[in-house]
Amino acid sequence: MRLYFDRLFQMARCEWLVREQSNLFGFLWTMLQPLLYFVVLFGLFTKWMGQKTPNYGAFLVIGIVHYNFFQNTTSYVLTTLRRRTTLLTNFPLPRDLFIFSTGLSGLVSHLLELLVMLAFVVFLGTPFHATWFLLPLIVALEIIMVLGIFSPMLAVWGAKFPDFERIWQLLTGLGMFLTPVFYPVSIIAPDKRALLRFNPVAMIIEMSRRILIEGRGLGIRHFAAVFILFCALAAASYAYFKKHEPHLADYVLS
Amino acid sequence: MSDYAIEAEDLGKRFYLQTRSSKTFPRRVLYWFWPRVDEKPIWALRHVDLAVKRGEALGVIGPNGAGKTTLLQILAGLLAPTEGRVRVHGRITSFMGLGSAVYGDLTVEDNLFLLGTIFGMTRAMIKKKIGEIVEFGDFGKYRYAVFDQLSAGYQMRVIASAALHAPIDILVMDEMISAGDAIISERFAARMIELRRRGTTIVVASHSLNLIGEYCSRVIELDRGRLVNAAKPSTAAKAYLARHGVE
Repeated sequence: MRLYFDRLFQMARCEWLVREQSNLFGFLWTMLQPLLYFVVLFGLFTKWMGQKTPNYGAFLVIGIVHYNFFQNTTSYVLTTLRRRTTLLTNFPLPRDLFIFSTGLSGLVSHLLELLVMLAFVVFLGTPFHATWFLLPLIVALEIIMVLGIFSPMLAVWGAKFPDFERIWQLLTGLGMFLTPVFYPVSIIAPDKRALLRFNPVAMIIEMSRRILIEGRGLGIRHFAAVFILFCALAAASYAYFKKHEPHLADYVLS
Repeated sequence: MSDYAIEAEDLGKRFYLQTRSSKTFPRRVLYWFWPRVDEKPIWALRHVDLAVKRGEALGVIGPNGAGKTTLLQILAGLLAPTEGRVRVHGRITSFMGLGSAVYGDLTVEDNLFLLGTIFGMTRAMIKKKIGEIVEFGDFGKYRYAVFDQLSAGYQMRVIASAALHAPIDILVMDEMISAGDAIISERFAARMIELRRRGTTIVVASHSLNLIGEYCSRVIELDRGRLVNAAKPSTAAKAYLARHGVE
């Protein structure tokens, strides 16, 4: 077990250092994408959304940061087995190390982005609420969602189907419009709002806005139900991954 | 505890020769209905039985495409066999494609920690041994340099030094470490002798019959995926050369 976690730490560290080019300026480049999204979406929609949504700037940055983590980390995990084909086919390492180390490197960047997001939220005039201390619970849900539910399945599909990367890019691109990243749920027609209930990223974003902007707590029963559901889906996803684990090298070689 | 470190029964491994278009998602969906319509099956291994005793050093020889690397990958648990099964009693360390584990953009020290954990050392063990590893490969002046900036020879020194300090029960190796450097080659040879003395099980594939003869107590020969001979190194080497028309 000790060796497993040491390997996980080392692989995640190396992935993060390479992605962020081993310095703070590399990380700042990574922040450029959500920042540009913010500037464009804020510029386009503030006049319309700003009327319906108080503190639209904070509202928007929260949506962008959470969706960015989901989109970037799942896309990176999807290609991890093919990117490391030679490592996969030459070293008898636990296969889940590849997906969890990649996911973990994405999580480290996300935690830094969350700090920047909080600073931004404060800068935009949002008062501090005691409910901000609930943010780690939402991050925990996010980790279960991205690393537990999506990553194992996507890693298998990315290994089996080399062009699935393009399909996922398309889906996450469309997904941004099907997730209340830059719009409030209230502008969606009531009969279509139910669809958003099945969007796990939407759940995370709404919970985050609730505690950071509105200062309202998380309903214990609702949070517990979501937590249990996410854990069950993560267990199913991991079981799917374990079923395909012996064949992953064949998938990337074929 | 079994007397055998590795037992393999009726091993077979099938691959499919592909066209480029076979890799696309639509083509893969088509295969659900019309399996492998444009892919030619090829058996890299067929009906291979193998038993390697604890402490034995087994050499695997054969021409290109004989199935040596495929056999080693299956024994190391990297590929699943299409037929048959493998039982391994112990922890396998693989010395195959050693250069594939490194990140060229990171420093030598970063890569040493990564390689160390991949080869089975915990971070605590690496911290304890890192001075020894650096001294073994004599690359102290490059310890904090970016890996890609080193010459190919020094890169192999770094990798080989980390590999040779790993704890090893069963070693699976595809070609001896070729450092292109007499110093590391000699140290590697000494380490191999030490491993043999300690009773480490070794399975090594190589084109060098001299090296196989030096380190191995038994040799198997593969040809077009089939096990065609198993004998002592000198006998196996003579038979192999005779089979391929070399005096």
